[in-house]
Amino acid sequence: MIRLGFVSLGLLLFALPLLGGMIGVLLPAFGYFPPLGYEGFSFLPAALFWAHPHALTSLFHSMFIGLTATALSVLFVFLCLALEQEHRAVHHMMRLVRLMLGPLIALPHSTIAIALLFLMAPSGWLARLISPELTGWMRPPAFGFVPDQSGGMLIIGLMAKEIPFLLFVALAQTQSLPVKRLLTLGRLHGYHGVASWLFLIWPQLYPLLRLPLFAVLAYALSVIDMTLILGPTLPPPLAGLILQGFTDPDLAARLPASFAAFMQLLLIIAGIIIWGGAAKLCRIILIVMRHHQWRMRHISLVTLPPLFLLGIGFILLALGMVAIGLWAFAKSWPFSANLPQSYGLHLWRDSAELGMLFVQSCIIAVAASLSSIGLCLMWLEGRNWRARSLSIMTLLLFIPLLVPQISLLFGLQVALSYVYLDGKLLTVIWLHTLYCLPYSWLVLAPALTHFDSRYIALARSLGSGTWRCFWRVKLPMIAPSLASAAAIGIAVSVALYLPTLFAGAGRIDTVTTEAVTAAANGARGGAARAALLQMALPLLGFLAISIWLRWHQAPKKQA
Amino acid sequence: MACNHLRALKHLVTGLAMIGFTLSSASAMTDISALEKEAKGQTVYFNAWGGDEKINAYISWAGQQMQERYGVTVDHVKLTDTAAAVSRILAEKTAGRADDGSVDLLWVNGENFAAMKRAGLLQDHDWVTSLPNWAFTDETELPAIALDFAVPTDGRESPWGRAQLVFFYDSAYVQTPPQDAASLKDYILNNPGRFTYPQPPDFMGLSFLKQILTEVTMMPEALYQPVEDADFDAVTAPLWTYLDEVTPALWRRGTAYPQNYPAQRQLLADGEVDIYVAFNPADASSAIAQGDLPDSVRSYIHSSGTIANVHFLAIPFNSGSSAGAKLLANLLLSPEAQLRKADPAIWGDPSVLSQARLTAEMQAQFAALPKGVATLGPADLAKTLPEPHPSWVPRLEQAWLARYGAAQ
Repeated sequence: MIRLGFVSLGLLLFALPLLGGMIGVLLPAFGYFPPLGYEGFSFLPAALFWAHPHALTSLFHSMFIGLTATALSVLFVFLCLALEQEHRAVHHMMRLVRLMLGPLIALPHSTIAIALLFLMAPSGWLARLISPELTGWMRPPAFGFVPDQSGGMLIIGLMAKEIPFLLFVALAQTQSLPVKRLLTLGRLHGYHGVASWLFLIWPQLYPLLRLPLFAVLAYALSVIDMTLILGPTLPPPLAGLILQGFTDPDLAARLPASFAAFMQLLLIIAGIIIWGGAAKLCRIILIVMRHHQWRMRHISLVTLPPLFLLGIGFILLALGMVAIGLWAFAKSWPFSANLPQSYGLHLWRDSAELGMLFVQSCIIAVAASLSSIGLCLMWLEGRNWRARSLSIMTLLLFIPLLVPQISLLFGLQVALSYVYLDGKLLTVIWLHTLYCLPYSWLVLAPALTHFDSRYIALARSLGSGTWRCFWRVKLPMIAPSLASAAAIGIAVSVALYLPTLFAGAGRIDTVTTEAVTAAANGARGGAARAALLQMALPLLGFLAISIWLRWHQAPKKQA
Repeated sequence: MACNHLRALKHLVTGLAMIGFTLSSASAMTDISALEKEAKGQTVYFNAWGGDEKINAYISWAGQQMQERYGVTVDHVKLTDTAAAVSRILAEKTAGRADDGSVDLLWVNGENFAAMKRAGLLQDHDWVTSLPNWAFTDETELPAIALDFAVPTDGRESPWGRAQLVFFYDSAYVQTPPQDAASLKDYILNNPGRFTYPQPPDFMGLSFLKQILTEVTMMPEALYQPVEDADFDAVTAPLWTYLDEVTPALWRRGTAYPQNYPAQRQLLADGEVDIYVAFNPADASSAIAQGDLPDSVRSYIHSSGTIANVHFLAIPFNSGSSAGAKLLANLLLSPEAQLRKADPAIWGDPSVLSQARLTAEMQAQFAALPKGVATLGPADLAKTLPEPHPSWVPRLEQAWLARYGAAQ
């Protein structure tokens, strides 16, 4: 009973902000907004929303971008996994990727967008490098790739963020699958590695990836910060219309914006249904292919071009990061100079203030990450999880990632100010914990539910109590998972913008709120400085945690 | 006996009248010492746009002054967008939170002010004209300190500074800058791809549309009346003809626009465009000093004048430190603070005070202020146009979106 109480109390703490947020957007979406004098329910907000000349285009834009970016990300993740053992080049690349995965996941969406902008804009680094020698351009050309109204650039940006994340999840989950045995089995029957992956491993892996995939899809369907930098902006996707409505000086514009937020929710549900349908179709095709015993011996030729593209993508991303670094220390860098003409530390003058920001972000990130790990451990240890209840719990924890942040914010603000909790550091940490939880759960749940209980039985037979078993036996053995969970938690927390802004009442600053303010100011140097800070914190987190892990595991190796 | 009673009553009446008189004269001028006493120890959360390092430094100077003089702590909550603070105040009103609001003083003007005033989000009495430093302003000389975008302020917001729409150009590429809407059109058509404006509904983008509309319309007087009283299509037709002509020659052929004016300023810094528009006459000088713009940037305004307005400070209905907020507004209105603010090396924002009401010594200090390389002097900025009635803005926005809001 007590244990069950623990779980439900935790869930309640978790559900309240979501509930408040939902109510706060649904009431105005259907015309009820007393502070502005709208006392009855109506379809006026819906009518106003549809009166926007480009509402339908926006909806289609969102759907197209979200589905395309997610599908392409999955395709590339599959290719990376399936070809790791087949191509020597892929094998080397994956070794590098495994090493870099932590820092790659830690890159915030907006940083990736800024990197692409610095590189691909008409006055970007690429154009500077080849001008005027190759192009004759003394000034930036009149055409360019950023911003891009077709949404292609946004899709590329989303993929740069989501491929490492999905790879990370997939690599974590494949540990519980007998990959090597299945591959050998396939090879004995004359199947190419890709065919073995497709027919034998993927059908087992996909169900484990489904929820993270839906989170990725939901994000791509409601992305806003990347859109403002990379496009499309004319018209923006649905999330852009919501943002415009909520920032319109005319307060009544919040009613159609609330309806748009409701539509965003429907859009995500529709997106998930379409995705589910397409996945079913793919499964049928797969069964047919397997039935016809497609061994795919010559698949390598087909898979090379996309891999080549992926390689180019990673090189571009790396170049973009270098561009960010250069801008953060450039004093003057006019077009078409290849490199800055002079460097300086003028952007780093307020080092004391920046240090404070850094420390504050650190405190929030570490606290949120640790408390989400603590909650997960408590829940996982609190009861014996059956597969069914485990998947229900996972779904519950993923709800915050499936609901677009911007839809929740106003209601959350109302709820927090009603109980005088806004503007407190603890509130910000609490909210960040909500967003860290699904990731911690994703990493810790398989580690703990697959834990070999014989170790505990052994420890008990040697006279250890429950706590001692947990602290001295179980925790050290799942240390790598704990480390992963902590690192991801820090990365997730650092990148959160809207939840920080709204729970913190603008009083709690982090490197990310600073980054967005600097980006809005438009000056390239400021944006680069903020992006560097934003990258540095999670990187430090990963570094500290991997050092701890090495130190922690070192004595065991000697023994 | 009756006589005594009558005399006592008479004394009482006189006494009451005297008390009444004292009270009324006290309310005519805020009792600054009572305010100081109430404010001591308060923390004022000053919500103000935080995108400019110079402005941030100026606000932190004001915070130090408040701490030293009155023991009031000022916490500058740096906003990306005023809407974020408005949203928070609206959320608090929705939650029924009438005290200890998260915002104590807000930097605001125009449509945001009009909307907040209408929705009852501001202190609903005149606290401004009784501030001691209000005496240095002159409403007849600068009517905009009491008329914000044609909406009477009714003492709900205290003037802070002045803004005027100014064009900035890179003199390395532009020899003779355009003088009016017509010559701007020629410039755009002769230099395809080198001009753009922030995408409406961005505030600056809409201001640019208002500027061009004011210049090209046949019926400019209609703009100062509510839009419902005018023939919108007839008044705005010349604007759409103008934009139809120039749009194909804009940056990226009008298939993309910068999202705000700082983004457009960065486009100029990168050499992608030749001209940008801003509301702060000292914007470029400040950016040059920070190394964000080449020092070849200069500014100009149109010969018929450009749209000018005043920006203000307002106190929300539920501020828990309104005494401290009033003291801060009063400090920021003082000749000393206004002089400091007008210095381009510090901020470069024009004063809202009347020179005639200042001491001779103060006037001399204002006259002696240097100006930035890219900042026009008061004489060049003399020609101003008032803001159109705010009801025109949503209609302009809708019409623009319908015509240019989707890239082909």
